[in-house]
Amino acid sequence: MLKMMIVDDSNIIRSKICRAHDSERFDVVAIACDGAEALRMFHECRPDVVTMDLTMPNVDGLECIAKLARIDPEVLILVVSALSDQATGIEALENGASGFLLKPFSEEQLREALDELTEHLYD
Amino acid sequence: MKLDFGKYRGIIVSVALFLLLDASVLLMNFYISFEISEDAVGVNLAGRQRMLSQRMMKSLLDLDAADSVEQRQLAMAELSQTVALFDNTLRAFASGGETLSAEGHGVMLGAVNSPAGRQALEEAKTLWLPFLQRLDPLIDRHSLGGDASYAARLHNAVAYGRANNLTLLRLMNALTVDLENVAASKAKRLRLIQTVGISLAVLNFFIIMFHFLRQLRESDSKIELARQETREILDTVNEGLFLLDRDQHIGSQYSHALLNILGQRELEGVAFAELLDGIVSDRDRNTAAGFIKLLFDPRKKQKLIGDLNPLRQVEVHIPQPDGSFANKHLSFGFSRVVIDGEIVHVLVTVQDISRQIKLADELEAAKVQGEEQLELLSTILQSNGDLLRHFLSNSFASFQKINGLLKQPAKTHQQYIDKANQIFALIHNYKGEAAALELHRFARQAHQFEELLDGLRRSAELSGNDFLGLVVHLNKLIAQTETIQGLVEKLGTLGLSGTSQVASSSATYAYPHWSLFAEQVAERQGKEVELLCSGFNDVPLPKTMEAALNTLTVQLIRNAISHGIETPEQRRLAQKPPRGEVDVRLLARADGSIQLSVEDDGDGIDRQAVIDTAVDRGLIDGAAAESLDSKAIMNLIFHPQLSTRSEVDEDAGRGVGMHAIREVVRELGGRVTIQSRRGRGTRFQLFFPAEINAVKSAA
Repeated sequence: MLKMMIVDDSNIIRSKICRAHDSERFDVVAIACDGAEALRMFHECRPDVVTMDLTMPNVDGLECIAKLARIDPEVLILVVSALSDQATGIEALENGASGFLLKPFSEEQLREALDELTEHLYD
Repeated sequence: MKLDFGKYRGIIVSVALFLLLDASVLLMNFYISFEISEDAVGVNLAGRQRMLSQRMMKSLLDLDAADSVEQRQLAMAELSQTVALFDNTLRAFASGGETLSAEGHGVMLGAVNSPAGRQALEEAKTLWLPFLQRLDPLIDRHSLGGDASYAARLHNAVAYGRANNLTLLRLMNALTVDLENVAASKAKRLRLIQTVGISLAVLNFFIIMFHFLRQLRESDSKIELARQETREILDTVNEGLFLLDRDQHIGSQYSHALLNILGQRELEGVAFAELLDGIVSDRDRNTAAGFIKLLFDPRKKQKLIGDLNPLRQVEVHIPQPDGSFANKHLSFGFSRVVIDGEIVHVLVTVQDISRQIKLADELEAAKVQGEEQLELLSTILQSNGDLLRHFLSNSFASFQKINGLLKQPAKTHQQYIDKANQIFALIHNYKGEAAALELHRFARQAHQFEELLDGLRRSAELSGNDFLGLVVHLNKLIAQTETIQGLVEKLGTLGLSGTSQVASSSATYAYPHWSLFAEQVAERQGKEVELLCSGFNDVPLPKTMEAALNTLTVQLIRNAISHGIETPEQRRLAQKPPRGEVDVRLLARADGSIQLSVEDDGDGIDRQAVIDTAVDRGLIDGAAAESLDSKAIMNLIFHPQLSTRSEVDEDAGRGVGMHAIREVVRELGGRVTIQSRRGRGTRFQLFFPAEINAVKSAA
């Protein structure tokens, strides 16, 4: 069972990810509404997987990803964002994220993305 | 660990065989050489036996002939030494054992095995043993020399020696010759072995060489075949194909199509960024470099970064030999090339998707056109024919005015600006009416026209040439409006459109139409609105007023929604019901004058914003702004270049709306008032005097 944290300022997206993920493989241990909250919760729960929005109040996604990756270089971060700017998405991956899921996404797409993200842990 | 030599197995086995052969030849060489050197000692000692046999005889004769004791002792000593050495060596030859060499060292001798040697030895032994029996007592008792028995023994020994001495010599000679023969035959054998060894080694070498060369040729031809196939694929495939290394340089193998697609001659070793330079935007180029870098990072999931590819569909400008540029749509695909778990290259595919894009665009355009025509048709069918006719006649009148304005000569910049403003006002009215009739295509066209005009109004320097482009646009609008006129006429003759059901009271038409219009404007702005209309059925209006009033009402409703009514969110925060209200009333006063009021319960006019915008646009200066009274501020709203909304769209935002409204009202001899309270709403009132009405209606 992998510990998962959801970081998104949209309630709709948060509950969609909660609903859609494969609960046999992932255990949602934390849900944060912004970057600052995510950093605080990360220290407490040490999740293996994080889904991360990019545009959020307080600490934004880019900064948050860089900080999480410094705390735990092994953490798997999936950026979940509406793409207005590919350069920002690439920066997010350079900062330490491992994958990118484009909003809007279907539940199936989210499950596949999470499988792909963690596939090497199950070999 | 299991050793796997693969294709080198043959050669390794051959080399091992070669070494084994060499080693065994060498070993034989050592062994036989050792034997030969031993044989040489044997030959040497056998030769010495010959000499010893003669020396023995000589010492014996010396002894016999000795005159003095000294001479006898000397001869006796030599005899005893020679006999011992001869006897010892003979025994060693016969059955193996140690004897003394010429230098006095002990040497081991092996028993002689050859038949001739053995026979010589046997015969020598037969002769020697009786001789030794005669010699031994002589030697033992030499000190007793002089007695009679000694002389007899000496005589006996000399006699035996004389009789057999030559035979013994011959036998020792035979032994020597035999031993020499044995050694010679061994040397011969050694040479034979060496010859055979060398021959085998040479043979082996040729086998290896032949085998290896054949293998080399085979693999060479396989490689050549593979290269040929690769070449054929790369020459034939329609996509651009190439590999990028970690430094993002293009590899030596790429498809021929790539050169055609990119209009290049040579790409080997070229940096990908250099390839993109000038054909895509700098931004896309940089983003692509970042994206490819991600692909080389094994921690990033290839399937999860596809959306970040900035070149998935990109418009490029390829320089042509004649100096012009060809525009194409390309699609770049990137995939990792993984060998032994390591990402060694990124395979790039490039497709020219211009045709697909063009087709998709055409399909989309056809779809839009179809939808628009359907929309147009359904609008015409649903709408009131009178309203359409008003729209058409108003439009053509406006077009005529615009044409006139365009022909009017202008000299100063200000005159040009005025010209642009007047045209703008006319087009803005047209846009409003088209939108009210849901003729969105016309509204959009008019909006584009406005944007052009807006550009002109903002230019620092204007000339007649700047207005030439407007003619094309105007003609397009005219053509479209004529289309609709044609449609209306045709439908009219068919009895299909609203034209056949012209209401006797022309005022009733307006409500449902305005409500729908209000809803659409509200929807586009993300707002909710309720339109209330009253008085239109009660006030008999002259025909001329009808069209003007329609135009004005539409503009005011639109303004109220665009500028006045807040979004549901904002309204909730202001503790208002989420749905805004726009109240439109037409009042006929006792004196015959007519009053149109459009009131909303929106946010009211932000006076400070109006002032700021006016200052910003240079309509008034900052100092004057300080001393403006409320009325003067409201007056600013009627300025042709004022709008407080930051975005411009189909519905509102250029500020010409109020200017146009006042122009129309003034033309009808009326006036406009505005009342507004911040946070509570705004009311626009239009007054038309009775006498003007009468004059106009009479006209």
